[in-house]
Amino acid sequence: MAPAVVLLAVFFAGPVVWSVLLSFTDASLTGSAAAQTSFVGLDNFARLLQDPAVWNAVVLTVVFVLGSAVVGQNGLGLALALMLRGRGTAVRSLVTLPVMAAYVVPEIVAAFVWYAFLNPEGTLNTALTSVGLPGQSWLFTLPVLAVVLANIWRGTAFSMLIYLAALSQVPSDVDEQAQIDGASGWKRLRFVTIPMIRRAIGTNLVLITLQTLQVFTLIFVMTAGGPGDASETLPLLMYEQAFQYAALGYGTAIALVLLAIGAVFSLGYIRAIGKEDI
Amino acid sequence: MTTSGTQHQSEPGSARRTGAQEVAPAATAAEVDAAPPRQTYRKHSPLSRPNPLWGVLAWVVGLLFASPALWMVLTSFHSEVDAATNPPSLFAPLTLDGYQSFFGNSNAWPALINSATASVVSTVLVLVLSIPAAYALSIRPVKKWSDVLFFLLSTRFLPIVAAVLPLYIFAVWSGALDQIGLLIALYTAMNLPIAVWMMRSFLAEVPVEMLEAAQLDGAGLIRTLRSVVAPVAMPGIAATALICFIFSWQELLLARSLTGVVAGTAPVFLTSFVTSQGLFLAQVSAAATIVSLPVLLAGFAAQDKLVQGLSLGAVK
Repeated sequence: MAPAVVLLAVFFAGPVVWSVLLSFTDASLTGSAAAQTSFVGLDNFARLLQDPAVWNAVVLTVVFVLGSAVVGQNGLGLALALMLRGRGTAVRSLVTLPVMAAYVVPEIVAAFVWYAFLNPEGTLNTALTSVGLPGQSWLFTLPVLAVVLANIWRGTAFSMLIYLAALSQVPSDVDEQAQIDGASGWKRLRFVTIPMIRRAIGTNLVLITLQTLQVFTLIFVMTAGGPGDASETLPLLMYEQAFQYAALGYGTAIALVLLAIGAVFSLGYIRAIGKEDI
Repeated sequence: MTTSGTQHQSEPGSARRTGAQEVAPAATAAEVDAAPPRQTYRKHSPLSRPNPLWGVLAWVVGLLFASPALWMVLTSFHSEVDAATNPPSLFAPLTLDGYQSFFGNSNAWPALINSATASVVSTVLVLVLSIPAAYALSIRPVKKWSDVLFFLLSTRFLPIVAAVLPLYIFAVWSGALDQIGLLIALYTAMNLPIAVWMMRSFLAEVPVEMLEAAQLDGAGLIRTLRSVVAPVAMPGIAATALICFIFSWQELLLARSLTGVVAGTAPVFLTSFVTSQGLFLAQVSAAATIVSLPVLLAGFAAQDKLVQGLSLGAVK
């Protein structure tokens, strides 16, 4: 037990505490501040509040999380789990294997595949032009939609697995009783099944939100945050500030905004689901 | 000693076993045929009535999910000329040119070896650290075990991006930048929480009566672990190892920020390969296929336990 906790403290809790400290300094990779880092109080946070790039990134990050995690992965994962409930092995494997493959494939591969699919000479445009529809530069015109779709493709397996497990534990008698009472399929889903897997829904939302907030590689490879800053979410902005402009202090301050957004989402879910159910 | 199977049946608190039933659809299907009462569940659950529409829809979704990966594998076996045609020729002659040029690149093998080293060594370390921790948390619960578990899980979901900068400074300062040892330590720390969670749920399946019986028979701790716990928990341990391997193998952010030419892993190499060879679709597809292959195999091997492991951590 002890060695495990120590390792985590040194390599994960430690760095996070350190980044809180760094965010109050002008730490930098280059220039005079690199040699002598000094404490600058709340300067980084004051700058952050006035920086339109940060606000743009916050909005994009929230849109990305809502679109790809809360609606996309969560909704599609639940739908797939419901469709697969009680089905035979053949259908189950035919659906779960590809969905799982998308989840275990390295993120860089997923990003490349989607890039190849959506770029101007890509598969999608080829298919569109072959049936007479105009193609366009999807990553340029609809960058956010493109990364949202790619992230749904990549991450749905996690939600699906959680809901498959949760549904397998829902006792069937309540559902049968509701059916005898004449409730329609939709009503039984809404008033019987969903309430019974509330806990799984809450846990799933917290976990996929925290995972989606961190998505970096997928966006970096597909659009690199562009065009301009049209898909520059907080992780990309932080990376750019820290490693391209060498502003470590400011970069870590941005990372803290990311932590704060994660906390707000999580608290929201706990509120919505009911505290004792998480 | 009785077989673990019968012990399992008598174990109360069956919630955690449903995961196991869940993942053995073949067995359940057979049971359903043999035991009519269980069929009522299938017949009456809302969306699982033999409605062909839902089945077709599920197949379509499966196909949609498979198509990008299938396209990639197919392209990797085409020549560059065929891969670049518009529309792409599905039935072009197959060739291994893409793979040849990937392995012809002098950086390919070192990157694959780095990835293998970092993933395998960190996975072994994770197992060594997490088995005692999980044992302490499940079989002989220490006080405040739920707090400890929650701390472990919370560290898994801290944004790694937030830790990258301090880690970078630490690496520069300690001279560990571009060293495979640093990646091993980081991957170990990264995978520990999920491993402890999974392992705890697998170890919790060891029936208490079996442990008590072993104790009565005078078995010591080591003996109990080896002869009683290990046989029951072995599939779970294997699944945990595979999942840690998958996560380490595909990790890019830490590897990209903290390594360079010496310790660069396969995903890092692939990133540079995609940027430099972006127009050579067949080559890049071949590279991507090779880098994906180990994790795909590991994923399929651990598939059933992945459901149990990942969801038991979250859903009980």
